[in-house]
Amino acid sequence: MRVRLISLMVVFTGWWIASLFGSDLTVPSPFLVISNFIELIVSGRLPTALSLSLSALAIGGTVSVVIGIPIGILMGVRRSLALALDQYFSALYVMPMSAIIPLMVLWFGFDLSARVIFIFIFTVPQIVITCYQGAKNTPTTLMEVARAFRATERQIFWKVIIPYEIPFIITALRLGVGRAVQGMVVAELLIAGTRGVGFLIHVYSASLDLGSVLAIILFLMLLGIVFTGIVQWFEQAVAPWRKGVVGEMESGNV
Amino acid sequence: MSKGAIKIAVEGVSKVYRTEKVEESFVRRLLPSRRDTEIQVKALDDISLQIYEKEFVSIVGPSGCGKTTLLRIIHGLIKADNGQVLINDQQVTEPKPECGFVFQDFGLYPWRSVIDNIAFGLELQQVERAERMERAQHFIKLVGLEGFESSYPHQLSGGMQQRVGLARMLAIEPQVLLMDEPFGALDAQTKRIMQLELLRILQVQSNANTVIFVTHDLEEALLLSDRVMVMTRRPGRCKEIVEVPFSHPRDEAVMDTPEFIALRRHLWQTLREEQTEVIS
Repeated sequence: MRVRLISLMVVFTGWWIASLFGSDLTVPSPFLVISNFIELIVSGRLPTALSLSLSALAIGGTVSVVIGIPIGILMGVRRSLALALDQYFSALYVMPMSAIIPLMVLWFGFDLSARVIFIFIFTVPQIVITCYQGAKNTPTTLMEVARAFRATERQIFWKVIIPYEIPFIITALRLGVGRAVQGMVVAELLIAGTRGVGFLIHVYSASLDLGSVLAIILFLMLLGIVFTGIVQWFEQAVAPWRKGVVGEMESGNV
Repeated sequence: MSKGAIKIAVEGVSKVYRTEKVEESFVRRLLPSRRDTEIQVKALDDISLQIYEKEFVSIVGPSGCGKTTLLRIIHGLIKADNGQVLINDQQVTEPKPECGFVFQDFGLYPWRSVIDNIAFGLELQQVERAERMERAQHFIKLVGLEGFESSYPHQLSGGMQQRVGLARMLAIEPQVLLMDEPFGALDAQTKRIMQLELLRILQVQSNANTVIFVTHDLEEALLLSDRVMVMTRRPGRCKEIVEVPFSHPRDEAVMDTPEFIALRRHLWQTLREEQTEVIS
């Protein structure tokens, strides 16, 4: 905790010193950014924009999780499914997503569905790939133990593969939240038509109000930290045994 | 000792492993033919062995001789290419309820507490929770793990982890115990303690009375067994079966007797012929 605090203070001081050499147009001081941030909140602009953005994030993110986790796990269990689907998710994962924005607009227009689908396409490969890797790499010894104790295929799935998979699902959630927030902002920056957070960034940067732009970016970063914190708390709650074995599990030598 | 009924009969078991060969030529990799890409490794060659009720038989042999493969075939975890295994006069096609298995690397589930690991086999049999906890508790006591019921495997030492492995096997109340180098991953002192513990547990748990024990430790084999089968290097065949004449219950004292030392020397000489050929 102390290291974190010191690290924050060093960055903050560095930023402040840097701002002394630039103007508000190039490097706004941290104090200006904070006062802009407070103003954005008090005036209700950021909360309004956020509520518009969050609906796309919530729908796109939830659909990604609900579809992505089962697909990833099934790919890990059924080799034929993995061979059929793996290449698409790998391709989607590395593709520069802004390139498909024009397609999204052509196909789905400017409304919520375009952004939801964009967030989904942006998020789901990360979730599928993470869950797939976990399920695929379930240590064979652990499955063999179950076989030695006369487990059925169904029992192996629910009592070995799924529990082993839980940490990977949590990792998928953590990485997925990050992707979904990125997708949300990119979609709004590139698809006109919403007055969400991305739009707000667009407006302030067009009027060269860098202080407000940075205030929003900082806010998004904080949002990411809060989401990650929630996922970590969730992890502690559902997989308390994981803390001691993470290293062993990842090297596959449990 | 007088021999009872035949409990396990291994009849002419052979096993060939087929593995894919990594092709060096790029064109061959693109256009593989079945003949090119398969390597056949003969692991076991015509093994026959009878194990009597209440008998403890160890299998020793050089590394890679297929002793673990043989144990897995006896359990029904893998299938033999030729020959068959009978347990209680019934052919083995899949793991049987009367057999328990202990793994060299323990094979505990990291997400299960000690008691839940021990109750795993009962859970698969859909034994009711209250009953399986009670039965698991009995075996926790037997292997000396009281107080660790709710610990997780990563919090235990290797010796304690294998105590969990033993209790998990015993909890399903098997008649036949199949043990694959169970103490191979432990340090020398812990290993000795676990060997004596196993002797004690087998005295107490008299329905679990027929044991096949794979090891590469000759002293361990002699201390625990009634007979020791020595296997040849790959492809594994039965080279010799050595009778161990000491009566039960045994303790460490037998290890200092001249007979024990003579047997150990004999086993080592038999095994050494196989070992050196592996090296050279």
